[in-house]
Amino acid sequence: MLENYIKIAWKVLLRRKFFTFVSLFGISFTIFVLLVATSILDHAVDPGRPQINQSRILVADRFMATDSARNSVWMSSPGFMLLNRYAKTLKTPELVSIHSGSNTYFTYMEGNKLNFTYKFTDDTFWQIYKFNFIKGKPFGKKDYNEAQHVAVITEYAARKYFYQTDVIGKFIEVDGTDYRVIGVVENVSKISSLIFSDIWVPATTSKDDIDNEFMGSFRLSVLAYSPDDFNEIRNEWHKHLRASVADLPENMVRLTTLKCVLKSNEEMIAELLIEPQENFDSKTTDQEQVVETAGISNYQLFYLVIAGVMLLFMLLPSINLVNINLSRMIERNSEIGVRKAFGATQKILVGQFITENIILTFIGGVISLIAAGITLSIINNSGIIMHAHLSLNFTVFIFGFITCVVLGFVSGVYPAFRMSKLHPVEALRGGSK
Amino acid sequence: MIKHLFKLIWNRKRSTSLLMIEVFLSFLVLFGVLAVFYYNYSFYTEPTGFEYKNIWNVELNWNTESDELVREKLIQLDLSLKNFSEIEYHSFCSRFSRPYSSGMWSTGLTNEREQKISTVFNLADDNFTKVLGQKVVEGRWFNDEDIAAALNPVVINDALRNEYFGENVSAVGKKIIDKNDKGDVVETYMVVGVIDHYKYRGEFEKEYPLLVQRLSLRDTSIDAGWNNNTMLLRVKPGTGVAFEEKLVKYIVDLTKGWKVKVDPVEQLRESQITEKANSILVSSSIAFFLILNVALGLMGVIWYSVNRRKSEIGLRRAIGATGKKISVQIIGEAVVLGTFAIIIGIVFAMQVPILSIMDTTVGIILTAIFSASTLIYLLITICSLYPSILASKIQPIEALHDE
Amino acid sequence: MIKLENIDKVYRTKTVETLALQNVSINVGKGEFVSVMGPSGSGKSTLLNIMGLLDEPTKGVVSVEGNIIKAYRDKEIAKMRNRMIGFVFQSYHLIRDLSVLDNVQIPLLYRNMPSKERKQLAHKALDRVGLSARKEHFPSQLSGGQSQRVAIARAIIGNPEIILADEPTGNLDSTMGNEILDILIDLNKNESTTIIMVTHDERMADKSERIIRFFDGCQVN
Repeated sequence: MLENYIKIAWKVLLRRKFFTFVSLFGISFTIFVLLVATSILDHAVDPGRPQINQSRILVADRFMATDSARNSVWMSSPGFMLLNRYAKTLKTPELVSIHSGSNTYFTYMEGNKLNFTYKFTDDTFWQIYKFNFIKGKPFGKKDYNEAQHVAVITEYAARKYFYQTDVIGKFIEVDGTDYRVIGVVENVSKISSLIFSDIWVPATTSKDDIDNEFMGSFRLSVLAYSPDDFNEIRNEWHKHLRASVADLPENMVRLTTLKCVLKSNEEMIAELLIEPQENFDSKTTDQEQVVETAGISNYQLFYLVIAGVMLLFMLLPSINLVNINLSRMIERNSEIGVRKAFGATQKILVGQFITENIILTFIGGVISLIAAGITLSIINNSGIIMHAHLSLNFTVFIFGFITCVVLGFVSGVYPAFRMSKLHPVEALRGGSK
Repeated sequence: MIKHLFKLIWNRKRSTSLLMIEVFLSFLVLFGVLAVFYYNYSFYTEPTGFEYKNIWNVELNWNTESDELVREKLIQLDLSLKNFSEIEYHSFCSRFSRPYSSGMWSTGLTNEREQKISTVFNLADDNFTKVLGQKVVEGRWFNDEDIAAALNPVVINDALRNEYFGENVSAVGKKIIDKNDKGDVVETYMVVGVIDHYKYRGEFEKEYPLLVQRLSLRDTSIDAGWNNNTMLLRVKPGTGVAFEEKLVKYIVDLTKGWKVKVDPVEQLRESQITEKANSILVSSSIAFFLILNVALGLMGVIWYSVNRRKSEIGLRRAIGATGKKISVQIIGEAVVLGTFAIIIGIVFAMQVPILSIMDTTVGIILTAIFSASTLIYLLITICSLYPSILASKIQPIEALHDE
Repeated sequence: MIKLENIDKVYRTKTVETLALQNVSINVGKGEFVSVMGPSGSGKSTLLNIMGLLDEPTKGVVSVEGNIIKAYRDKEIAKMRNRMIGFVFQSYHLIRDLSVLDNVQIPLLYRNMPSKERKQLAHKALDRVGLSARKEHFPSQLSGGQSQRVAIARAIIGNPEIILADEPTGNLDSTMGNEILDILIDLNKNESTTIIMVTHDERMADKSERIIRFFDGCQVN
């Protein structure tokens, strides 16, 4: 039976080339756009190396301090001192790392202007995020504690600055200070903005007075033994945060309500796409509650919005396909009549037409897979997203597959239903209403 | 004729309703893309009020240093820059006053009619207009006369003058009062001049009412910090990276280790425009393919409907309709159908200004509606043209024999 | 074989009711060759459709091989059509996208038969109508007579007890028409298939065993 369905589907496709083209064009284009979008999204949600521990990592990058009346609100990233004193001492996570946001600087070489990004980090950073070292090694506890001027740089930075990657032991100028290169790593995609950089140096070598910074430009990454520990870690962090009020600097003493949420990767991305709503309900005086509810609703909303946008985007091509299918019904009246006369039930006919549509969608899916593959490699090479390595991985492929089935089904069901309902006498006469 | 077409479509409403939804959705897509485009374009066409060629933006960063030391170094820098022949003029301003700045500092000013006017606040020194070339339309820019002024001297833009004092009312010599929430006067400014435009955040930004306060490195009432860490240079045409490197080295030496970042304003402008253009390009090419998709589908559906209605068309021919009349009928039907869809679309589109979803004028929305409608009509006509020609060629005999 | 008792068929639109058949009772026995004749609009085709279970009578009882059709449920009716009845139409109704061999197999598709067996039976049916040479051709490459032979092969492949033919020679010239009729007569004689044929042509009708005449929805004798 299926063989016959496929055979006739193929014949039908070949006969009406223009309509096959229109249908395929619509299907491939729709799936193509969805594939590219998902692959970028997937790259952000699950970037792979160096974030292979992603599912066990929690990050805090925003800090807010308010007074009890909530008249004045201070917002920025947490400072080095706060994290160093109160986060480094956390007992529940496996590892804790403090790292700065991106700093950029220019340097001039032989009449060229070079632009680099650098970050201040600690030794545990390299244990939480597993960078691929091409040469050398990361800096360790000793380097960090002794504030050694050592740097880990990317392949990109090495090639830009030294024109080669064999640069261990050479000196690179980072924002006015020379650092000795001790490691060269593979480039990091700019999509992973939390860790993206060209150069990493120990935070202890910073010339700023970071030891007295309560608020500043640092982020906190913690690695949990398991995602089940997330709540426990959040609770412990919260206790520490409350204790940190004792160290508030002079100009902040009144701002005793502190908020600094540890977020999972999905929650971070959701926040990027949907502006977080700072919810200051006067009832939620208990901070713990604020911590608990902050990220989660965003996270769900994020997937809802994504699903909504995708559905909307699929709506127009689907209606288009339905219209084309309905039109084509007319020329297949006779076929429907004959099949019915010779014993096909409605169910069988619905099956046939849906199969036809799904086959068509699959061909479109294959075309779009190829097109998306080409487009992604163009994006990778163009540098629109720096050092991106977008690819059609398994997740994306599965997504494409599901899209095909859904699109084929959605655009096939109504016409198939209308077709199968056709009265055989009517169909054989060649007329329709 | 039109009534006849309406009747035809109404009687076939079941089969045409899906088509109508499709055209309606296409209209919304076109409307959305066009509205965003016009929105940006309307800002783009308004003058920014400043020049961007041969101007460099220099950002200075110092670590924790005392205010006095910073001020001393800045004054030294100010004096020594005159020695570089490559620099025609230089000017100090706050970080949020330079061209293509990402940040914005705004405050609410209250005028005599007790209207609160949200105003952008800039800080710039006497050389600001010499570097950026803003046009002073009334009064003058800051100069040495302002050093001992009793009231804080400010220059405002046209927009603030119109909102604060009224359309085309002279502002020079008048006071602007800044009150806090409780109604206490915080500061009284004296207007010394009016510039026509300064959309400092770039081409794609709305022009806000603007108030520029005079910056002087020697004025200790202004905190040294991001208030005066930005320097704008007007360099001689053709000055390149070599001088940039020399200058950076010079400043680093002079200031003993400040961080210096130089960006030609032309590059800042380019990257902002590229970013905007890219986002418009992506959304409009997606819309284009969606619409193309619909157009091809539409053409197919009309073609089929011509085939199906061969006998009806044949009959019309037999009764005496010319081929041309048949063509017009086919196109006319599609156009009437499109009109229905567009009317529904307009009802939806008008919700944008009504619910003030986008910060935009009704004019932009109307233009977008108008051009989206025109495009839809064009699309429908093109899509029905070929099928209508086929229909006009149907011979009465052939058609009537088809049954 | 097929028995119609007091059949009425009314076509209704919003405003008009048309009485297509009025109190028709016919009994066709096994192995009979019956012709149905009458002017256009007399209800011949409606009769055939009701006999073929393609259409439901407004009133009256239809029974096929002693089974009274009570509820016209899609699944059961489809099954009966498939097992017991073969159709031949005036305009052949071959599926353009399928080869002759595939067209002929259609009734067997709905019987869950393995494809090898289907093919064998299709070859046999095509041999029976003398078209073994054109198995891989497509309907557009066939003449009218050949098309109708394919249609007959399709009607007989499932070995039905009854063949319903709606003006099978209507689109053919007399030579070809005679050939088609000969095949039907042969089937009737040698396989004792019951044949009910609607026709305009007195000469064709004369070759059958019994003629039923219709006028304005009523049976006339």
